[in-house]
Amino acid sequence: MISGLSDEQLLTGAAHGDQEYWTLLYRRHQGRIYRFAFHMSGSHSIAEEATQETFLTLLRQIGRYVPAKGTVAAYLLGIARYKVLRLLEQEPGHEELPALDPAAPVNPEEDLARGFQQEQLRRAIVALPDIYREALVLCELEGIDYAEAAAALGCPLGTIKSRVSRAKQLLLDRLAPAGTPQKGCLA
Amino acid sequence: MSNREQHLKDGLLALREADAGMESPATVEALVRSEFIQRRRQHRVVRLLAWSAVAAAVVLAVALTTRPPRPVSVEQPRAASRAASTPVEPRRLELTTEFIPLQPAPADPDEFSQIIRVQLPRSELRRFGLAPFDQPLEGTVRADVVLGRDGRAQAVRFVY
Repeated sequence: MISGLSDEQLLTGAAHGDQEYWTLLYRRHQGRIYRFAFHMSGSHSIAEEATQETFLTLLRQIGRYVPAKGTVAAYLLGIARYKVLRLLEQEPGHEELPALDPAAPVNPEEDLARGFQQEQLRRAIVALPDIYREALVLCELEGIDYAEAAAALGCPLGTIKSRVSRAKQLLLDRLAPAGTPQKGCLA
Repeated sequence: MSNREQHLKDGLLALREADAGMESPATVEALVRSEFIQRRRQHRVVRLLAWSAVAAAVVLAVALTTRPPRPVSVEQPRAASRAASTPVEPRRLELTTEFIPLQPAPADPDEFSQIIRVQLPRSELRRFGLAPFDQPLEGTVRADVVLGRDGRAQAVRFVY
C-alpha cells in the first residue's frame, strides 16, 4: 500500500518512472500549495498557475531534492513561493478579491471574531510585504511549524518568529478602526 | 494577549478553517500527470539510444581486438604456384626452399594478402619431406608463410 510511504519514498519512486507514486505525491501536497499561493496572491488563477508550475518544476528537477536540507513539503513550498512572487510581479492578483461590503460594521475587531470580514482580512494579508505575508500564511493559515517554515523560506528560525509577529502587528494596524493612529508601514 | 490580538488570532483561525478544503482544480492534476507520462516516455527513448550506443561500442571494441594483427613488414606476394618457381626476392642473401602449397592454388593471385616470417618447430620439416624421420630435430626453423585474404596459410617455404 503506497499510501503509507513517506514523501521521500514517493519522490524516489516517481524519479524511477512510477506514475502511481507521482500521482499520490501530487495529491498529498497540491492542496497546501494551492492554498499558500491563493493566500499570498488573493487570486485563484495565480494559485492555479503557481501550483501547476511548482509540480512541473519538481518534475524537471526531481533529482535535485536533498533530504538533508528539509522535507519534501518544505521543498515544494520553497518552489511555490518563488513561483507566486514571480507571477505577482507580472500580474498583481488581489484585484480578484470581492469588493468590501459597504454596509460593513464599523468595529472590525469584533467582526474578525465573527468572521464577517474574512475578505477584509484576506485583503489585509495580501497587502502585507512579501517577507511578512509568506511567514504569516505558512505559520498561521497553513499551520506549519516554525522549523518547517524556516526550511521552506530559507531563513533562520528566529527570523520566522519575528516576521510572523511583525505581520500580525501590521494586520492589527491595518485593521484598526477608522480614526485610530496607524502604526507601522505597509508596502 | 490583548483583546485585539485575540480577535486577530480568532480571525486567522476562522480564515484557516474556511479555506481548509480549498484545492487545485482537476485540470491541474491532469496536466501534471500528462507531463510526467511524456517525460517518462522521453527518458525511455534516451535510455534506449544510450544503451544502443554502448552496445555498438562494445561490438566495435570486440571486433577491433579480435582482428589478427598485421605483421610489421608486409610483402605483396605473387601466386603460390608462381612463387614456387619464382621465389620472392629476400631482403638479404638467404637460402630457401621453394614455396610448398598448403591449399589448392586459387585461380586469382589477388587471393593472397601477405607473406609473414615465422619460427616453426624444426620437426615441421618432416611433414614436408625435408628431414629424415629417424633423426631428432630440436629447436626452430625460420619459414615464410603466405596468407590468404581469409587469414589461412596458403603456402610455406623454409629458410636455411
